[in-house]
Amino acid sequence: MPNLHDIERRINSVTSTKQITRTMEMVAAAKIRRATERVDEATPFSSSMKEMLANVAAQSSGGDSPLLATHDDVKHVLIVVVVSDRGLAGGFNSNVLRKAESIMKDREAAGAQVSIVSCGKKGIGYFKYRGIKPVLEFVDMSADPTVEEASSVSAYAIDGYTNEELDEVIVVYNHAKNAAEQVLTVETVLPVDTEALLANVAEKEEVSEGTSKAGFEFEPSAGDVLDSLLPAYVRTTFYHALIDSEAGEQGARRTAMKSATDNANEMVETLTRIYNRARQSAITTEITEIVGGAAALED
Amino acid sequence: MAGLVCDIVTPQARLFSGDATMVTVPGVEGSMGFLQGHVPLVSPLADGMVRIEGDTPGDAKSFVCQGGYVEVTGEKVIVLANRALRVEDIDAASVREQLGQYEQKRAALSEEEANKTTLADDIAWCNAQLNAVS
Repeated sequence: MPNLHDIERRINSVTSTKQITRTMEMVAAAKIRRATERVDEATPFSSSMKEMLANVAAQSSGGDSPLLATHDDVKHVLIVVVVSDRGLAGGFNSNVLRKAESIMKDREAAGAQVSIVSCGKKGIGYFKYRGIKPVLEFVDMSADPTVEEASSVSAYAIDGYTNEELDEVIVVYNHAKNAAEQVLTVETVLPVDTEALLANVAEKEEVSEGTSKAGFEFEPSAGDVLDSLLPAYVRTTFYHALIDSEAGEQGARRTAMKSATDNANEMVETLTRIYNRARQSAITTEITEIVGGAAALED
Repeated sequence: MAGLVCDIVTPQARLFSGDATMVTVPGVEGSMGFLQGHVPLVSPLADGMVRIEGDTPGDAKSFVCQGGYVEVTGEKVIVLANRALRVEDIDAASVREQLGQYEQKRAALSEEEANKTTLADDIAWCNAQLNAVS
């Protein structure tokens, strides 16, 4: 039986941990709102961008932009891993990292070389431990991603792809489906799959209105527009992944901290019960001793 | 009556959404004006001013934009700008100060290093803002 003092100390320790997790839960809850607002504000841009790209691609009939061409022989794959800088967010980071690693294994088994771009401290640590050095790394940005960071990732990816140093670019991140749920998302950014875009847009069009998309004019020409639109599209995709992941991070942290707080509550309850029982039994023992002692004197 | 619906969106936010009778944008091959019923068109944009004329004369809004695209259908104009700001919101003094800082930074870097940063864009953006107010 642990003594009273030990139990008391444990109760205190659990209570102070609970205070921390509760505070973190509330901070994350407040940040979710801001992060979600940001995603909402960025969504019109990226959806208009997708729609425009699909229209242009449909008309310039494929085009010969290097970013659209699929490389027959996939030798170098770039995986962009979007995680957070801080932990304590449940399975948020490890889900992404594990997925990225399994993609990596798959590609390596197929004879390709894989390099990693890590956005977020957690990814750097994970891959360094496994002896993989990320080619590009970004830290201290998961809380506040900017377009500039997205630009440097996309510039690297686009350069590599056009120079045929990269044959495929994949981004792995958590999509914040809602405040409580994150969906692990794997997107192939390059080569740009215009057919998938078209199918996506066509689906939406049917719902909204049946306007004919043919007959767009381009200035200077469809090919030129496409050439400048594609890099912008890639950049938008990365930026969107970054802010989406940030919203997801806060959501995941809130959920994780909520369950930590609940667990701490439960633990305090159990410990208090044990404490009381121990106290009671100590008192009982004491009374028995006194009664026993008094009875011995009477005799 | 307003014939057009105009949206100006940047990666960060939707800056403007509303009715307009005429929208003027800086296309890469020169300024273009759109009225209702314009032929569907897509074009990249240069740095410069987007002007939105409202219902009544004199009811015009100006935005300074950097890069991006414009998409026009008969009754809708969507401006996707990399950066944009309302002209009234430009603070010329602080922009000038920032421009100075960017130029100093660029001077400190070799050309190759400077190409890796977004300094060139930042400087162009400052210049576009200054042009808009002057």
